[in-house]
Amino acid sequence: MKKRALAILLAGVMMFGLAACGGSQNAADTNESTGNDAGGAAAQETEADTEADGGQEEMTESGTTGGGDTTVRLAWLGSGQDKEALDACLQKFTDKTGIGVETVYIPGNWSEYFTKMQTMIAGGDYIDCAYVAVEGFEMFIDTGMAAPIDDWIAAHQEEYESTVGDIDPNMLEKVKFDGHVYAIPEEWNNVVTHFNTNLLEEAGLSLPDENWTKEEFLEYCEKLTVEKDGVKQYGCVLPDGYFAVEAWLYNFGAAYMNDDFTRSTINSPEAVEAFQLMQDLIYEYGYAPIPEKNVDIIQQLIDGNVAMGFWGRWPTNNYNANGFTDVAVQYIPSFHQNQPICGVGGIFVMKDSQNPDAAASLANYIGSAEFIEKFMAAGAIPVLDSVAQKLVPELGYPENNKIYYESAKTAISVQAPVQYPECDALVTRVLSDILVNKADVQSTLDAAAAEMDSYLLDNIE
Amino acid sequence: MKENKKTVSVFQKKKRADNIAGYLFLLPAIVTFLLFIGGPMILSLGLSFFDYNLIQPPEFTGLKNLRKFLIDPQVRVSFANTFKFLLILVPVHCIGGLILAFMVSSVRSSRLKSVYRGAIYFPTIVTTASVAIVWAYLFGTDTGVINYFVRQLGGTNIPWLTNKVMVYITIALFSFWKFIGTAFLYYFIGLQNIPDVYYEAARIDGAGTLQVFFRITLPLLSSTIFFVIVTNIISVFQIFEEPFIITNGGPGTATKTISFYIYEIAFKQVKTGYGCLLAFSVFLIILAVTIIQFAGQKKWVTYDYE
Repeated sequence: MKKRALAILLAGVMMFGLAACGGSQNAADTNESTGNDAGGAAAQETEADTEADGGQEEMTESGTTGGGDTTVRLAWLGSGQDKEALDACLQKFTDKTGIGVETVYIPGNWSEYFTKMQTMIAGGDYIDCAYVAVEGFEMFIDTGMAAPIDDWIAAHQEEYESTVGDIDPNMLEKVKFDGHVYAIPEEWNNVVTHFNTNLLEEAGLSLPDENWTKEEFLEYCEKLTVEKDGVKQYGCVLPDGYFAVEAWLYNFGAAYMNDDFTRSTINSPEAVEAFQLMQDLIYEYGYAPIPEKNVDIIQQLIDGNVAMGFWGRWPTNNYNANGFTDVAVQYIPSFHQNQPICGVGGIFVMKDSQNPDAAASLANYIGSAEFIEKFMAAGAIPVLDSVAQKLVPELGYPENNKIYYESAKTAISVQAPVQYPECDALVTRVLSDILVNKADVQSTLDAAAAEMDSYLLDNIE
Repeated sequence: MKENKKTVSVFQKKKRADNIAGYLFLLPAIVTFLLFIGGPMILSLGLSFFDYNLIQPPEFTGLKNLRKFLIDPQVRVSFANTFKFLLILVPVHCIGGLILAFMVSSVRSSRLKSVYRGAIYFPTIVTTASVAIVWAYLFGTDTGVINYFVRQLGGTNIPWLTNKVMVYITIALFSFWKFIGTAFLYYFIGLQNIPDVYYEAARIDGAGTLQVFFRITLPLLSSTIFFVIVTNIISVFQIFEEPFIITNGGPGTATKTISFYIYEIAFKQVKTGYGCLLAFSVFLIILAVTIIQFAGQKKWVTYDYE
């Protein structure tokens, strides 16, 4: 009898222990629902990111103080390193409107940012509005995560016009879908050539003209590729991702897909020519290093290990952090044409927002000159023309920085269909195959085109 | 007769009570398994028949995911790469760990033995991701430390991470350094458990070191070897951190493993249904391989030390 009682008692204790474990799990779930921690389906990748970045990449929250009954939850890309600056800027909104702002920082790249937001929403958490780049526009609308703000605009026409009136219509069009406005654009980026001016000077070169040709580019690469104390200084690093590669493709007169995203054109003769040149720059000419995952190529330019790179305005954050100002920018060589690319970012109001009007007001404020002038010293190009023309030169470098904003009228958006994550993964793989594995360009792109076509099938009406 | 019946009845009651107690002891493990392993597995199988992007309700698609699975070239590539890792890493760990354990257990000084034991096991307690990043920097082609010394010695850059054959050697080196401690520890404990009397008898009979190793150590260590092989195969099937952090699955798709592909599908492309199908396929393969191993072990594994 005693034994039986003891057995039951022990089993009870063990069950209690299990229940206690269950409690911890619930606690983790609760954290997830408040955005303090990441769990659920995204936990593995968040964990991997967190570990990969030395444990720093966790979701962070901050917020304004003194809000009234209404608080808006804003999702923001990043790990919260700029939260003091952002809070200070948003505090003005709270002071004016009485609406509090709680900012949820989500770390990772764009794909990870979108996935984590999807997971949060699926887990019962809510976001009122979110900063979204063009890579996520179609996906946000297609999955029903975002809601149009037409009603808010109709009710606040003057407020809206005062914000977007200064935006180039070309940029404003990027946030309109099927006749509805979904976001207030805030910033954009293009892709240009960055030069380490010290290395240009050493090679006796000056900044090339804006319509510099492929031949001139190769000549620059040749002169800038030298051996120094047993270490090779490369003429350039190659574009390293979907956005920058498509910028090259545009200048070759190519693109990943057709305009309505129903058929891939990644294996067009012009695209093949572009990828072939990239491969040749490594293996035939020796002007560029083989791309590697863990090499920070912006740092390579800063350190003088490479002379040219292809990015937007985002490296200015790295330049600032390193106190590096010996840099100039020029358009990507006009391989066949000079066709700038653009990627717009803006604030979307979420469909499940608990305060859609307040969220739209916040989105409008973040798109305003008052906010942008205070917040965006470096990193992106303000979408407001007058603010861009004031802020971009104010930084003092890079040389020729006017090309950041002067292409707003003519820039074509990067192609980001609903299937962006699949296409992004495919382009990354193709790049690695061609540039690292030295795979045959034509056959690799033919296979990629077939695969991309299978992704884009859903877009055919 | 009555007495006999009473005895049987008391015996049955006691047996039943013991059974209940036994089941109660098992209950926490069963509940844990059902909640955190069995339940999600069944859910995963169920979700395989749906398209689910976490935002919109799951949409039943029947065998669509299965049809895709059968023709998806990335599945073939990922499984092929995973099998390549199996062929390289399982022998590296199983044989390397055994050699290290045998060498350390042969050291006479207990202090030195502790030092070796600590040094070999230490990397396993360090977070894989953090050291993988460091190794990735060490192995950089132009900027890596190892190639710097290679160049200093007059050599040329070794494509540690940019050649699709070399990259397997790089990951095997990292994996050996990082994970050999686990296999080593199992073998080391297994070696300690072999009674000295067998060795003494062998020495008296004049057996040499190799004979002792092959005729006594290996047979009596077979249960540990079997355990190490089974657990190693399972963990290599799930290999993720090394390709994710060191190579990003590249160059091209050279080191994209099935776990890496599941991560891409389920967590980057948010195709939860297809991701579940991939995960379930891995489970089935691991299950089949493990069943085969358990069936085969009867022929070579001994659990009897007496």
